[in-house]
Amino acid sequence: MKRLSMIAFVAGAFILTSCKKDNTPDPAVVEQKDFLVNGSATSGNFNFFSFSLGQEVPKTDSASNKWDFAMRFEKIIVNSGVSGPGQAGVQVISTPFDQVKEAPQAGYKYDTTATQLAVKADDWYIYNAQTRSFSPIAGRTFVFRTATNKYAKLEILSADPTDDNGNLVIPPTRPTKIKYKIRVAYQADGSRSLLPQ
Amino acid sequence: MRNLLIAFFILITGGCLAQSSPDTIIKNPLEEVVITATRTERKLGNIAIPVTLISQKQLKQTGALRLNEILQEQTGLFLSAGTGSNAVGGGIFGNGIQMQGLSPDYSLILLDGEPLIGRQGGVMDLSRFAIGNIKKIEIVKGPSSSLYGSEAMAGVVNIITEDPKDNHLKASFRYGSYQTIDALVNGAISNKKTNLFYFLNRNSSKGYELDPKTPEKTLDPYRNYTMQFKLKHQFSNRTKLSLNLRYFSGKQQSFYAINSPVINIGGNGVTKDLNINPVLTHRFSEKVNSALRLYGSVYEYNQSLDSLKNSIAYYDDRFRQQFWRAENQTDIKLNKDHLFSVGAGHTVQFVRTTRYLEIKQQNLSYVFVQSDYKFNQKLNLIAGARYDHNTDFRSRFSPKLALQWKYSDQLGFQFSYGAGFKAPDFRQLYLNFINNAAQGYTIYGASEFSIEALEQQKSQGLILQILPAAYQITQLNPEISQGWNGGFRYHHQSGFLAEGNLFYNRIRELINYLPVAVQNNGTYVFSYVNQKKAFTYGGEWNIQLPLKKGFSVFAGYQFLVTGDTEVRSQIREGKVFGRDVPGGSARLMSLADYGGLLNRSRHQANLRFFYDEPAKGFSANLRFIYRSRWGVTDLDGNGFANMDKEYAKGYVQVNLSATKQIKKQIELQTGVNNLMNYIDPVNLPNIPGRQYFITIHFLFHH
Repeated sequence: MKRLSMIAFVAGAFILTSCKKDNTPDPAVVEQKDFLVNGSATSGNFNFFSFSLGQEVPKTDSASNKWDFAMRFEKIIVNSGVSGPGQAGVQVISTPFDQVKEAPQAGYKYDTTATQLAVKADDWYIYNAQTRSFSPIAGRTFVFRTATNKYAKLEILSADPTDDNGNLVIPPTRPTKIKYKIRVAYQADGSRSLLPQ
Repeated sequence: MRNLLIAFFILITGGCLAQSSPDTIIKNPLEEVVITATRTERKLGNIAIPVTLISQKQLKQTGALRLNEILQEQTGLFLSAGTGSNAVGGGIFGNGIQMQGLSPDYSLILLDGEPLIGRQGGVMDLSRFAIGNIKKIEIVKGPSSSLYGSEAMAGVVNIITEDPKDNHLKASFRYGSYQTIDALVNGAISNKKTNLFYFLNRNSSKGYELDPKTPEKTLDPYRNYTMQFKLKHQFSNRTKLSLNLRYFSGKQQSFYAINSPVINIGGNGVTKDLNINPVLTHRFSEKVNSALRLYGSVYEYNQSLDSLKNSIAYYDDRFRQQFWRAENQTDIKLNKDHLFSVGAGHTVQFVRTTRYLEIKQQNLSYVFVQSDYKFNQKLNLIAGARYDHNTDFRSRFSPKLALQWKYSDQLGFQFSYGAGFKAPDFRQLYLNFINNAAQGYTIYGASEFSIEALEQQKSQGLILQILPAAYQITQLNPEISQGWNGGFRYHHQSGFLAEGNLFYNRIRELINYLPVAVQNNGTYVFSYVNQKKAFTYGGEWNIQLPLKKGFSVFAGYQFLVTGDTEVRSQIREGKVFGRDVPGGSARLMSLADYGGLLNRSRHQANLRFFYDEPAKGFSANLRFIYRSRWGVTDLDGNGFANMDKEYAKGYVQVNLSATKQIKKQIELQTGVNNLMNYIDPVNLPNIPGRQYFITIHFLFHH
């Protein structure tokens, strides 16, 4: 068994390196992580995320190309137009994350004005007024062109109200943060391929 | 707990050693008469429409105090809150009734044949109705708009109050858990021509707390008063007058912790409800009977909440509805096999609330006919129709057809088809509401909506974009349904009953709100449109089995499937995804994943044991009520329940009670409700924990 997987690994590595020679894109790097963002709908900072680093970047980078999208409560902005100096654009498509193998060539949206953002509420979640919670719609995938013209995809798996340390809170305690469980895939080579390893 | 159960059984079996005597909880079925299904008196065994009858005996033996308590023990009925209802306003979580899988909004509740008004978020709170003055409750299942018009989509519950011909005085006093106090006096004074029935009731509770982690009580303290006077006078053999008067006044405290860990907002909600109903009946001849019915009802709900810190007004909501109706129904016996009924009426309604611009008035006229024809001893056909015409929404024609074939005196098969409708409610027509507190969205009822006004606001820059949906907003249609019922009923003189009914309801033109424009603050303007389609189907079975020595057993079961037609077709087309656990990866949904409409249980059952020993003045009963899991929320954005976490757990509730006559005029009743102390604070806030009660009844004949 061990030997078999060794062979598979070597063979795989060989195929990958040989693919490289055929100009086949690199595999996209898929990661799952928690993204803790400001839980206030109306005030305070956004939290900024970089696909190339695969993590949050500080607010001090907000005027740069170092971030791709940012969130506050359930609001999403992208690094372009009114929101930032970058080239980032996004589209939300009704295809599950795993099945998005290539980023579309066109159709990306930008933050044109403060009220006309690229991502709209009903693109990706359902708000339940009775439980005051919102649920990410299963099967929706965000496809990004990043601030630096690379491609990435994002799935929001869950959204939970938490305290500052990311521990779940239940009413009547008011949450100060929202903890998003997200899955991202980043293609560093500039191609639109979003195939994983 | 187990010991308690054993003790109870010993109590029953101990009593059982005594001599048996004729059963009284199961009456001779062939003699029971019902009125609701056809608006004419019919024997229960001779009716082509599914009807459930709850007798006064059953009401009394269970020790129920309010209408919701007794209805939730019946096969196929669930206690449930309606769409958009909440704890604020409506008092007790909207204790409405779900029938054949339709929400409480779609069942008509009648008091002595006249419609009750005063719904909060579509739900008639049934805990408003005391049952100490009720003679029987008739439940008709399936669309019945051909006789009753709006709201009779799932069926009709008719509460028939007492009508005694004797002189008596009853009084009773109850004390129970949560400091529940219920005192009533009920009596009748009669002479040959005139009788007066009166009923007074005071009911109060300190409320209860199911979840100590929340600062709010699950149910806040309340007290209710109900009074009823019914005067009947017989002018002659041919002419009778009855006057029914009912008044209800309820007050419930409301305390909330709003943006605070402790209670900081408080006040009262006050409900008042008045019904007045004079009916004059005259028999013109052996063949022609006519009734003139006048009816008025006023319902008022006011809630005002203040900050407890500085007494500044926090919330103030006022709602007042008036309903006035005049109606005539004439029954003509064309020949011994053909009874023809014709009726017509006019209704005026007024509503005034803080959320509408002005007092709204609605006028509605209607006419109905019904033909009840016996082809022969075995085959009976009932055909009827009603036409409702009004000012604010489209007119409606509702037919009904019912057929019964009697194989024998005991066994009958019946089939019925009916149309039902529900007029758009006041919110859907007249709401004019800007939510300044929350995100600033705006809602217009369909009658308040105007595309010209939106376009003008757009030219002023208040509206960024008018969505295509805005151009679809027109006069609303009533929500409509068609229902098919088919079943059998076997009822033996001994009291043995077996009945089954299959039903299918097709519901269309359901009213939904949708965004019609984007405002310059990024939020939406909403309005209402007829949009959705749904269905419910299933079956209901009941058995009533009289055993020896005063024992009897009742068992009932309902199987139910529901769904949104549009959601089902999207699933079939492979457009809908879901997750198996919250935060799990998305997966294509199949029809097997679809849990149907929220708040519906697939299985519901009840098993009730009664023991009755009139000679010893003793009776007891033990009742089990089961409900399988039901969808309560959507966690993966597909709008329905598919993963386990989106369901509330199924449960069994066990209730028991026993009554003993201790003197000629005194009876003592005691019982436990929710014996197993099953609670679910999130999904079943209206079911308190275990409750004990003891009641003393006095009865004087004079």
